[in-house]
Amino acid sequence: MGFWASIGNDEEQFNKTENIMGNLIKYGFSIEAIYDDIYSFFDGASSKHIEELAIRLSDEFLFNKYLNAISEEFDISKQQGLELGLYRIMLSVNKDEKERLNNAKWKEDIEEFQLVEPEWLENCPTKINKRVQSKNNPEISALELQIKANIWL
Amino acid sequence: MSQLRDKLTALMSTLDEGLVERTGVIKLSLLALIAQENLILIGPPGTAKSEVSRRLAQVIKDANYFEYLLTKFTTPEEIFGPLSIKDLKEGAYKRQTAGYIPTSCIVFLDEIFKANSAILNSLLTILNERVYHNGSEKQKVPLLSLISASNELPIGDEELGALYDRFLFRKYVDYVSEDNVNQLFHVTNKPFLLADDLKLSAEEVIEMGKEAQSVEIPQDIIDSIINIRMKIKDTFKENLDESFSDRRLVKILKILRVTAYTNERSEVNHSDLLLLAHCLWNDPKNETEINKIIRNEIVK
Repeated sequence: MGFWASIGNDEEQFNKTENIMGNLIKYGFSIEAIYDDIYSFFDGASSKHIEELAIRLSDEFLFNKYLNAISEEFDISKQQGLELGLYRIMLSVNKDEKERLNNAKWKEDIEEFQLVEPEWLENCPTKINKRVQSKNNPEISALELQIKANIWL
Repeated sequence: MSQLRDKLTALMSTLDEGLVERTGVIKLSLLALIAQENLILIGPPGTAKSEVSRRLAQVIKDANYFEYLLTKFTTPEEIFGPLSIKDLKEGAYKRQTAGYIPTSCIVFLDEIFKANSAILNSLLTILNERVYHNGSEKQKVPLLSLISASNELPIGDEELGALYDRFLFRKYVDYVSEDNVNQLFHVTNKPFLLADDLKLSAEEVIEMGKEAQSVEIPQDIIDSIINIRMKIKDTFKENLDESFSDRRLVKILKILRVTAYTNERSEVNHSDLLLLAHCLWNDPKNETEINKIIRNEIVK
């Protein structure tokens, strides 16, 4: 069951969604990001997923914990950090709900956020990797290139 | 040109085979040979100094190689050749120099600073002018490079200081470090034989030296050399043993051109200046300081 279909006549669900959106705007998400990308993740999610997400997002401390971990890990912009933070929270909801529904008989009984990992994440080096990379393969200056090319050195 | 660079790289690598921690010495001795300059290796005995020079002797096709251990009692006959009895009978004082230094392309003299005054003057002339005064005859010496070795340097000794100054390249050679000492257990006593296709003729080396003179030295490199010279003078103004003479400056320009030429460049660049670290110090204890001056100038 699609999210938009399910939300049509469910006031409680609508309120939870509004609550989620309000929190996202409070944290700094742009309206465009919410309407262009984030809503698409909700397709296929159960009301339980929406409820769990609303609860977790209302916990500012928890969300900041995610953001802090991300800022430690990656050298990225604030919008990218928010995007990844939300993605990870939804991922954790999916995981917890999957465990809770471990005994579900059928595939279609399991509804979850339709998550797509942010595209930029694939080629985004972590800060640790960047540090190691920088140590092993520092930016080559013109002089270093000259030295490397000199057969007598 | 590209073939030359590749050949030299292959040559260095082959000369280095079976040696441990001697890459720097091999490179510098080969550069000295191609630039037709002299090299002194300073360090304790048993550090492959003579092995390096014997290998280098194979680089030149059909090279006459002369090797000798000098003592304070070494006579001119031992290194310049015996007196020619035939010429003496005819009233001429001449030596039979075939097979000795005056007819050799590559020479290795161990314990060079044991040289006594009987041989010193002739040696100085050979090193500087590639000429041997054989009696009344001025004999042209085909010497490309003289490599010498010593445990100690004649710092403060005026007479031997002049001899030391003839060696443009200086290299300290130490025992193999503890990290690599285990590699010495795998070294074989197999004699080193250089393949003919890697060899150079003496004529080729001389031609390289001539062609290298067309290499340009850009103004920023000239400025850097002037700065290095000034800083060395300033740093060692109270130390008369450290000097950057005009003769050394001229020779250095020649080295820089040869370095650039063999690297397939038409002009000298800053990386070439790093080689000055093997040319500008007299006392090994000042090597680090002078090296620092050079590096600071290059990365400026």
